[in-house]
Amino acid sequence: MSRFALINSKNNKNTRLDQNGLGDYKYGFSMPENYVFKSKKGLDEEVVKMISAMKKEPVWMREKRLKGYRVFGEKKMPDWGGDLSKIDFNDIFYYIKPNQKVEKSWDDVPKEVRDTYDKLGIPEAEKEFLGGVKAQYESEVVYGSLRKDLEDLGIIFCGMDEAVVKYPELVEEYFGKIIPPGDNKFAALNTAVWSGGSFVYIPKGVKCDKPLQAYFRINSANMGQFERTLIIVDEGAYVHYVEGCTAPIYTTDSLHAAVVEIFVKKGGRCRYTTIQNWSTNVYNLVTKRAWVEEDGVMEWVDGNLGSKLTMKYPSVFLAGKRAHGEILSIAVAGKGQHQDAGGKCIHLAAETTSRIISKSISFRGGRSSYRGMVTMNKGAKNAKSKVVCDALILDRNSRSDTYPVNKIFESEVSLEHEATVSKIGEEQLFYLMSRGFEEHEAEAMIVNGFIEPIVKELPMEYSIELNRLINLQMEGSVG
Amino acid sequence: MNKVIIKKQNLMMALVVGRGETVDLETISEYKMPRGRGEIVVKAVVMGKGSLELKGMIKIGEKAVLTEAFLRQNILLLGEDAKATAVPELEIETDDVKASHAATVGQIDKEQLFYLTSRGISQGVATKMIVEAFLEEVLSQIDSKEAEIIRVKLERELSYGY
Repeated sequence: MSRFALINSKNNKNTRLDQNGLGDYKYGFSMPENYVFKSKKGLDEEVVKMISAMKKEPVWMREKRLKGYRVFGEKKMPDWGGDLSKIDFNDIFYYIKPNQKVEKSWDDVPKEVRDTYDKLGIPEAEKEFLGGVKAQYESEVVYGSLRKDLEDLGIIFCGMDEAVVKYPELVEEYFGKIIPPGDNKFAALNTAVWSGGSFVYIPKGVKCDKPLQAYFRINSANMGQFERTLIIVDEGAYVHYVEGCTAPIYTTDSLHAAVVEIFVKKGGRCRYTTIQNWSTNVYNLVTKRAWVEEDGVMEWVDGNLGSKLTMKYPSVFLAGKRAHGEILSIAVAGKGQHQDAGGKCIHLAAETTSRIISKSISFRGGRSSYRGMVTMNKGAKNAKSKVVCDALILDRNSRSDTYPVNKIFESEVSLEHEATVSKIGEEQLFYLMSRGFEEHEAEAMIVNGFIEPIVKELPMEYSIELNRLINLQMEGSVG
Repeated sequence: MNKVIIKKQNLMMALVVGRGETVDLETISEYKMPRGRGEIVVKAVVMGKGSLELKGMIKIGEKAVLTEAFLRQNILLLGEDAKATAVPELEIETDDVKASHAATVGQIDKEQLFYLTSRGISQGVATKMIVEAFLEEVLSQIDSKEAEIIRVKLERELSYGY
């Protein structure tokens, strides 16, 4: 189960050491391209229509896409956050289809795709562990399996493209409901050209005891990945959805603009775990939002390790009484990286509670920012929220920012926000080194201790690999 | 009301935002040299229909190593339709620093109020005691004439009911 398994660099054709400041970053391989279909570069109405036609979509979806395209043209680029000026929308392939049909059996998956996954160290045995695997390679779901026992419970877990055909009434009702195209430029772009992503429906009262996992990868230079995920957790149901990303290294910039919409009905609970490890040329601009009804619980666990620039603020709308939202976020920014991450909790109803915990690490000139918002609307009586942001800066060239906004429109509430910024304590380091640890080992231990409160919330195999990956990134980075 | 910007590294401030008043205040603490020390404390009471925008930035530049900078914003909302926005911000461009900020927005602790009223103190007096105690941290530190102005304003606002 090695989501971040180290790959022997002898096997890597395209490994470029130290390109991203990670020393021996092992995921930088790429496979020969073998596509059934590739759209032309750039975006116009024809490309949008063509994508819709290729997917044989119903008219309503095509209309949603075209509306998204129009809004995309009208919306301005955000003038806050990271530097987006280098993105050239005309230099991107918006749709690549690697294989004609959605595969069901592992053996039918094309060899190159399988090789890529082997290098990432996803063993076939994982099928035994996971409820179902949806691996997104390029823009299309190429491999999907769902264990029968889950299917028997009525759980739907399939590719978004498949869902448009098979469950049109659910998709039409919820698609774009909490993230309309007008929300922001990248949500509009995603609406226009989305491809792939997952659709999950958990029926009333069903507890999905195994995490559902999706796998995302970009494997072609200049290819944007615009997956669209929709999760509906019905009354009293529970699901844990896990999404992890790694991408090969290319010299030209790539764009990843995903949209994730989650609906948690009365008494339901959803946990969404992401570990994002894009290579350091990727712009990762993702809109994630959850709508939570009475007594529902939404938990975002968000780890941002890779990418050139990440702008991602998972949001929770607490719409029903006693709904609870939780956002746990880790950001690691190394050389040339800017992690602009955080979270938003909007309290719309009485007795709603939320907690945001953010831990960020900046090193080798990296910049990490926490950007968050807590809003308590009139009527959100006895709402409570707590925000804690801790930042660790490992050297003089690195930077850390905190930009929280707390808007309170109801007097009977309680809100706490605190943030601290510090470096690794000399005394802690001295203590560990006096016990015989090398300096870099001691540093890694301290960093791992720093992020421990969030790492312990991850599925076990993820937390082990995350610790290992951070050790690797950290080597010799302090001083 | 116009926006007030205060550029300081050290500040103790108590604010009473009266009924229907709007206050927009920003504090900016910029550190450019090594070994700076500073603490900003803003304690504010917002009465019914009052509105407070409170921003506080701590900026620590590349050369300002060994800086220790703190910021705290405590806001007490009293009465219907009191609104507050608290935006504590940090921008830090070097490592060896200690910096933190904290913001709270809350209401009068009902248990404290219950305790006092159960001892025979009227609701109005009890409220005044709690609010004064909340501001006392700052009032006891600043010039007594200025503190008096704030106390008088608080008393007047509380007498309107809340």
